[in-house]
Amino acid sequence: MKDRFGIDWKRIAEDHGPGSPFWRRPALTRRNFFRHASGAVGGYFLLPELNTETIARAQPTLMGTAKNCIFILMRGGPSHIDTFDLKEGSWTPRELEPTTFGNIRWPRGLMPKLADQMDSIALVRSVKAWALVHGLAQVWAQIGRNPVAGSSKIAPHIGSVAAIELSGQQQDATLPAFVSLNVTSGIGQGYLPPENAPFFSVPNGSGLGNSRHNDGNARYDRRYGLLLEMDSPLRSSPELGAAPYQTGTYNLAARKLVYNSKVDEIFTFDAQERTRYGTTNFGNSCIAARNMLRARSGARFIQITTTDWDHHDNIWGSPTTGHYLRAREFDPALAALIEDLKSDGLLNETLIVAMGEFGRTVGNLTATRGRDHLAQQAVLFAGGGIRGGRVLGSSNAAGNGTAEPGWSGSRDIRAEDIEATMYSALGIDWTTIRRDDPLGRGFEYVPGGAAGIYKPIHELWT
Amino acid sequence: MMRFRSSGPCAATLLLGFSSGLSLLTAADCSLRPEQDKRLAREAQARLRLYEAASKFNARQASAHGLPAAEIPRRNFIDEEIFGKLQSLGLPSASLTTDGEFVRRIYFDLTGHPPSPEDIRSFLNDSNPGKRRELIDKLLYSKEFVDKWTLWLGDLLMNVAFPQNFDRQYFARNAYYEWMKLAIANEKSLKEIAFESIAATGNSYDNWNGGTNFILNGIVAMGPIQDRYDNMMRVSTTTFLGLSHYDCLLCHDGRRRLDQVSLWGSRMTRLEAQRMAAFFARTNLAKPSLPTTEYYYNSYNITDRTTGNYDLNTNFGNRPDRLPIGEMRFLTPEYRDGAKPADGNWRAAFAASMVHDPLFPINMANRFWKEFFGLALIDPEDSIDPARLDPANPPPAPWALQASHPELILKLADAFVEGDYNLREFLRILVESSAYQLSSRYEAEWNITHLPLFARHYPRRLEGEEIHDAIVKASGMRTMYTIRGLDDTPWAMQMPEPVEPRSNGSSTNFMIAFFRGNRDSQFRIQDGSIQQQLNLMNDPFVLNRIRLTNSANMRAVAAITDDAAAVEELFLLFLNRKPDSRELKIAADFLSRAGNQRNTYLEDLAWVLINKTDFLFNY
Repeated sequence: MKDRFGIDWKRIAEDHGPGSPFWRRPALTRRNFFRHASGAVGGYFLLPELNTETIARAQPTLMGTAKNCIFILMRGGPSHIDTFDLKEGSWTPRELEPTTFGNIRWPRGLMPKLADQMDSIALVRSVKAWALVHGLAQVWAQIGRNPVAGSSKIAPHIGSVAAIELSGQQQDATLPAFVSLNVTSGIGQGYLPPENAPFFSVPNGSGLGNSRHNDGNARYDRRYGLLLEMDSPLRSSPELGAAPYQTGTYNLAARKLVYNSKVDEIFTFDAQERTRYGTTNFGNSCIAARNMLRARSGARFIQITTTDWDHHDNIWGSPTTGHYLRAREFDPALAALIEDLKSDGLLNETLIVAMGEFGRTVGNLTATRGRDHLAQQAVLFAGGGIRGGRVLGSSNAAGNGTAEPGWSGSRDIRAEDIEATMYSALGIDWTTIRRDDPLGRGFEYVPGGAAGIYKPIHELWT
Repeated sequence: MMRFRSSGPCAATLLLGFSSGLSLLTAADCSLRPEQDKRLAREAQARLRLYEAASKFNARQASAHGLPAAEIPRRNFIDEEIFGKLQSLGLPSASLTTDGEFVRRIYFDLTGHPPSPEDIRSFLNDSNPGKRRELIDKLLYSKEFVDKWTLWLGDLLMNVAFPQNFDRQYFARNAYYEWMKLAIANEKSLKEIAFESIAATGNSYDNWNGGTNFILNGIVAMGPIQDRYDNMMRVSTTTFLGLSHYDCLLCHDGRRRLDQVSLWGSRMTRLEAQRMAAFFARTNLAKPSLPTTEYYYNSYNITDRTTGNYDLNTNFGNRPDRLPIGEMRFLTPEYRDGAKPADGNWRAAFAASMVHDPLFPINMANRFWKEFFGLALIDPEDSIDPARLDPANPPPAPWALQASHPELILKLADAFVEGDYNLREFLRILVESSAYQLSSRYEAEWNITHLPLFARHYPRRLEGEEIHDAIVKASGMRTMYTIRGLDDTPWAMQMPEPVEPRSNGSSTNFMIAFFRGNRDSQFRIQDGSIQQQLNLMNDPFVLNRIRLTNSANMRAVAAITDDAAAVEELFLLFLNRKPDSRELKIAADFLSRAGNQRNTYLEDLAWVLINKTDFLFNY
């Protein structure tokens, strides 16, 4: 009997089918499961004897079509059957106005502006989350691996890996390569150097906060010069350890943002602009992201986190609450972003990925008139040279399992595959294993990537 | 005293005896387990900081050799263990810290505030050889100590007015805060604090009963009532016993899932975990039925029913189905040592078992150790593996004893119990040790494997509250914050929760870059960031406080006509130490160029000191 998450726990023993718990992997052997998910101290005796270096060392094909990536985390997990994987029934409010665009069924009433951008959008509907707990699943999606595994203790955000790979190509590095908008904190750079840390900002259009000195530019320069002189021994000789040493790096990066006209332009935008993007925090972050890319400011991986989609109660409460509200914040902002990047000629070189940490239960609403967590989910892709205006993969009629995987992996698509897709788009070899990790075990960009267990969805480009 | 012997067929059975009772721990095999989701980012960041401290160390230091561990004075059993181990490994220790470094460190670690120039001078000038112990004693009994440890306890017990899963409301948050503050001020034993947190009965808004607020953390969104019983047990065992693995076991057996993370967990079953949760099956958390105009309208009454069991009859919610086992349709409580409560208050029975559980003092000692030494002896501190604690009965290969210093953590637990679970007396033992009083400077070659050996002191970044209060104290400019339901205060260390002061957006905005967290979905982390640097350089919070027009202490500095003396006073105010000769020269030269702008240049110097790397760290 399925619970509110659409999970039938009774079939744990044998069932590897849709809806099974995340630790039951349909396509992996037990051995590979431990190889992927272990890494914990004491677990290596279960690993295959193969030296991972010798596996698949031939250079894999990289798409390399994108210079930038915008990763939109739809925090809380949006209802996929009311957004990217529309399933119509008595539960579908009329306001959604389901409309057909090619072979895509889309809630035009809810997201009309994105409807106009359909030819740039690909919807992937055969995606499954590994976990149904917010924290765990959100971290999983952002580091592209099991947060419990030993290597995850030091694992960087996908954006930090992108930063360390791409920052060598920078002409201009006004902004850090990894920027995280609409939040003040989040997953960081793991064991990678501080240059790859996310720069957190909640843009409001009135310039970058604290990038001006109230006592004036001249006085700031005088003070800063004295600071460098006074502090230089401590900055250059980290005898107190790494954390004080890193502080110097953050300080120099901060210095570049102060009284910087390029930064001012990026973070200053007027009411008209804000209105066009929906007059929301999410919209403002989309404007800032666009500005950063336009200015070729050094930001290459931009995460934007939305407000919460966790609609357990009253998902359709009123036109100004619940899922209505979120969709109406999401729609104008992302649509304007796609449109503007297109007209700037930047869309083809910017991969956009929008996903939550999981999907939501299907069919009729719950007793609290909402939807609960579900592993089945759908992801929106745009830009980066992908072929838009179509669906990749499909879910079953209810929307709580995969019917057609729709790609060469022939199985549910996972966070690790999406991670590999982003790296491949950016021209980063996702099978890379770094040998500089403090645990001395090698850090895989994509767990199991070198062994071909997870891989990019190259079908997006064909 | 504790006795260890193995018995029975199960190789990792521990029998621990205390004068206050016996606990039998059994263990079983396990595999991988899902980490508590709320802790993930925090753990990763904390570990990272420490890993990087090792790996990035400047190789120039390798030319010096450090101090042989045998030469460090052994003041108590901590030193015997720490330096004994270093000696046996042939690894050098850092030197002991200087008085100048010690005074700043101990003030921040015990009270969350830096010493004043007067405090520093009197300490440095004191020739009494026992002055460190006297200073420790003075700080342990200071007002600021109460604030700091109320804040610490507030983090541990998760005091939040509006967490994700329920509304505690301001009144209960304040009652909880004041209950903790009074407990710390009156030296209430941590055993009593823990007991009350589980067993208190009454209304969440009542100050004298603030302990009722802990068990509210068990409230979960959605799901059957058993999800709540499970969660009440989980928050209790994680907080007070370090057994976060119960979160996994409440969904499934440990076998084949926790095999690689917890030996104890791998042998535990879901049934055993649920029997622990059953202690809460008669607990009632309910809002009183009152008109909205009544004071207690949104409060919770925490009471217990006289009947009811943990029913095995769920097929929805946050955890897998709970189904009858043969004819057994419900569970009654059984503690992990086999104890079953008599009829009566099951919740109080759990509380009694819990505070007599050998893991209780081990867990508390471990957490306090982490606070002062930067790394827990058993890491991560909420994932203790009871099957891997006993050095006399080590686990089978490939498992190893979990603690970095297995004898030490048990001795610390003993000391905590022998001191009647008194916070101040236990902390005294920690900070009087030479191990705590080592320098952060390590003169030999550093290696990542040295991390859990504590051969040096680990610098830590100051918390947002400490940075705020350090600037306010140095400046003398105090902005009073209004906190709903509590007295106005200028000190961030007195905030009842980290999202305060809600009433002052600009101060909260300054502090937000320092990742105080919200005790609910985001925990405190020690990361640095670019925004922190922008805030220290440009935030009006900082700039306003160093202006002479606002700062009495700056005006006093300006009245010192001798430049060198003025510079020294500034360093003592903001960096809590004297300048070295190089710094003094640079600063005095700078001032000498001021002309008739001396006041302005003094403000510049203050800004420089706040933005100096060593301002931000407790080393």
